[in-house]
Amino acid sequence: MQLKYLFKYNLLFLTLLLHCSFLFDAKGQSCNAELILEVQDAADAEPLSGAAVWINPIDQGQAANNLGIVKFSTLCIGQKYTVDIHFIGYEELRIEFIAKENQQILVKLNQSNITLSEVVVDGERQVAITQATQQLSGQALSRSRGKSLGESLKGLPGLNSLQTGPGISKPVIQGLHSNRILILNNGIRQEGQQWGAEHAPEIDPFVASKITVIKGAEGVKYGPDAIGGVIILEPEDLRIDKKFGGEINMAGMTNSRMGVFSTILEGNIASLKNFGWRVQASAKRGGDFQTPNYNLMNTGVKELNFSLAGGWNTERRGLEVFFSRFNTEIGILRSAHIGNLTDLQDAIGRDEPFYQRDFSYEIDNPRQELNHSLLKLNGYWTASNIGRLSAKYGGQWNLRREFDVRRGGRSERAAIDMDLNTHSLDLGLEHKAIGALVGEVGITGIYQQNRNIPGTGVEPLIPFFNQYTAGIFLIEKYIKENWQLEFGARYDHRELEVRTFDDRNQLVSPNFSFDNYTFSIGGQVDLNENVRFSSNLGSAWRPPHVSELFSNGLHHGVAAIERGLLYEGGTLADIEDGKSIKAESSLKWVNTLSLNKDKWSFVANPYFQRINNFIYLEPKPGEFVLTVRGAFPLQQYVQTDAQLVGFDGTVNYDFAKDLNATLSYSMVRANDLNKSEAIIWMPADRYNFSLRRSFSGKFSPFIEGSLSHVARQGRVSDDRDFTAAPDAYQLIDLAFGASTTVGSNNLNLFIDVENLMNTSYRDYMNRLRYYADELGRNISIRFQYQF
Amino acid sequence: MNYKTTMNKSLLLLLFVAVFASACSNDDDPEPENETEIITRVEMKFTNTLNPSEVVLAKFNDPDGPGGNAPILTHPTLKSGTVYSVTLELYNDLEGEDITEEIEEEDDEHQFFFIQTGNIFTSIAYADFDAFGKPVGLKSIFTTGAAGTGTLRVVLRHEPNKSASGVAEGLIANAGGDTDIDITFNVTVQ
Repeated sequence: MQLKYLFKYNLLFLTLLLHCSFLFDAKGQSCNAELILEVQDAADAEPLSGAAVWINPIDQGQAANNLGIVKFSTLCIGQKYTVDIHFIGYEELRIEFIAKENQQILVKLNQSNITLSEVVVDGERQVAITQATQQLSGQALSRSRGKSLGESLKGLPGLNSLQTGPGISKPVIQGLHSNRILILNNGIRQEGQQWGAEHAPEIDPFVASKITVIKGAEGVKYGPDAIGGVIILEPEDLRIDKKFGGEINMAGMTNSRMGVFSTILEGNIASLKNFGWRVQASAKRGGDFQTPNYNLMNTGVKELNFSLAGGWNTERRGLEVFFSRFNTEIGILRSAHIGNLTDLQDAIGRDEPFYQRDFSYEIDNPRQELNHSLLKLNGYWTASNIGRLSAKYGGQWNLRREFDVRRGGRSERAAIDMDLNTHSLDLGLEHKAIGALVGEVGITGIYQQNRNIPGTGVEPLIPFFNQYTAGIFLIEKYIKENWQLEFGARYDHRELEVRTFDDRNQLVSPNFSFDNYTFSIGGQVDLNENVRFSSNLGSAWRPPHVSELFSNGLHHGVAAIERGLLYEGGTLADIEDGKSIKAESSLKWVNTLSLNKDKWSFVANPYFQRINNFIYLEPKPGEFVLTVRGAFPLQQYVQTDAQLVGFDGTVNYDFAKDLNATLSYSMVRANDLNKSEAIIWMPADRYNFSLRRSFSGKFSPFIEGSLSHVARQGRVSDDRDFTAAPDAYQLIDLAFGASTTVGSNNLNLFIDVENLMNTSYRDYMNRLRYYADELGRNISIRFQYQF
Repeated sequence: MNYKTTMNKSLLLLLFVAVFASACSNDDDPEPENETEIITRVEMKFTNTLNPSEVVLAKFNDPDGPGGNAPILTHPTLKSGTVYSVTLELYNDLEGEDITEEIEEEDDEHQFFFIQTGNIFTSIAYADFDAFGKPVGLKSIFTTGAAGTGTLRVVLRHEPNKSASGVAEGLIANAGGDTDIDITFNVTVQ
């Protein structure tokens, strides 16, 4: 890059900033800020329709609608308000806050006979309210503590996980995963080696107090890759109001004898006004997991993570810094390490894995060692006549080392050693409402580089690359009392510089460049006081990942030779700046119908998605590559047009206030349109029925039982997989919980029994289904103390 | 340079101002990684025990490693009713490494298996053993039968269960482990 230009642009940029800040400070207050209050039951997050909300000093009152929502739209930014919330059967709650632009406050009321303390979550308004979303927070999140991100989300309608044994779990949203979904960790796009099916996201879920899943295509807001959906992990806002507080979580489970400990300490500093800080750490240690009949040798896990945050926040300005580090070591089932196709077929033929041992915490090869560091700096500046300007920098350092079972004392050398660094910068402006129109413009830049650390003695799976991505977007929403419309558009440009070696070991440096326009349009309407319908049509895109372009060699885990899009007949194609390679482009239409009437509530999410130039690995039956280890089947990355049609839904019925039943269902049908056949590795249909009884009393206990049925994924013909898909299975889970307060502190206890009947089964979405059964009964105890 | 490209470049430049410090460093070209563990050449030397100057070579040669160009196999032609002493040698010619030595050093973790079709050999016997008295297979004795043709499959397993039933006798069925070599030669006995 020419430095001269750099300085020039840098200067221009600074001038622009200074100019803007001058403008922002010059004006006074405006009184058209909007507040959305969402009133929910603290225990089960049910909306409290009819709750009375009174706001002072403007002395206005409203009742919550069927979704528990109340809107006020004449608040003055920067002014202090008091809101009283009353609802029969619930404890009265008063909150005080200072009005901000586009504010959304979630209010959780406790039933009068329950003594959970009130939880008030103050968050930014979700950008796309017309999208189908799913949330994990409060008690449901507390009950998933200690599980990986993929495992935690697995039970939600429309969500699944793609696993490589019990230790590695990747979230799947409506059939799509890996590079087709996006994870936002504390506002920053998670950038790890997501392309690998055995590469789980390097995230500690303990950092988040709320996990939101957007099931629609959110390409406009978040840029490339968000084809399938977005997972948003958000921590609690920093506590500038509290001197000192925190949380302790402890969990233990019988299966794998895992222990988990996590702590959060937070508070303010008396001498520094408006400053808050937080320190968080978590540790996890587990050994070999167990199926009902045998141990899964070498499936232990070790994890040690921490994060630090500090920030200075006022209504109009704020500056925050966040740093987190994630360290883990994960063992991979020893028997899943195979040499060739015969070994794989032998493994499939065995009832039990070949390698077994007594329970042990020992982690041997094959194993993965991962470190992920994230540094985030962000600030915002509100000017009443323009809106809120924000800037956000994210730096990520991802180290992945994988150790294989090797000969000649090489086992201590990593077979895969990759260093992926990503830097991103987001600048945004949420403009001030123009009548009923609110919106946001933003620009994003991402720089990413992958380096293979030499000395592995194994040809790297993906090459050395530099990748530059830039995007600009606009999202506008027109909000009325009973309906709203939104529209968004985005332009992205990506350049990829690769340095790799051709068949004659000569260095080649192909460059690729991709441009794309993305749009979305959505609407939401309250048909009557009980029924809401929303619909969103969004496009998204994903340029091919280097792994899909340049793979060329043996993939040990699946006993196949994989060849990238750039390989034709075994040799690297002569590429003229990659012009023949097209990016995936997707159009997803997601609908949400929600109904809330008397004792019934119902949410349905039907969706339809078309993905052009869909990239997948196609098995080439009958084509083998002969090696010293015998003949391996060939799989070639190809592009096709794919279609996904699916549905997820939930019905809830309250027999009584303390007894309710929930039924949920998810299904997806994915087809290759060019070959009229089903796409492999798509989740099976899943049904879940649960019954929950809660009791009043000092400890407000509850007991919950659930039955899930997972159908057989029999849509892919057997000759396209190494073995037939596993049979359908049913599992019974039980949960028990109790809470109490000690002074002003909360104490929660949860006991969960998974796979109560100790059923032996295999799951289609587990890549180790060729080798071993799923986990047997697991009893976990979780203890949570909030102070 | 057209207008659109200029726009792209300026946008990119503008956005990467904050991140150039790291973007500009560490930009050297990569070095090709040396494959240290693969086996590119396997030589199986049949020496007539009665006439040691009579040597037949069965050979598997894949100089560029797995994938790329297909390997070249040299198939052996043996004499009927003859006792051969057989040695196996393994090399990584990409790195000039002698893999045979590695197997010798870790002989308790390795075992060769010889599987024939066509009844060309009347007996196959191991001639080398590890510290626990279990067979390895770098050295062995093969006895040919009557004239005919068949195949000989040579399999090297890493971390097999040498104590499982039949494994020490050369039966692969219960051996388990990971396959490092699996080569099939066409054998002619005349």
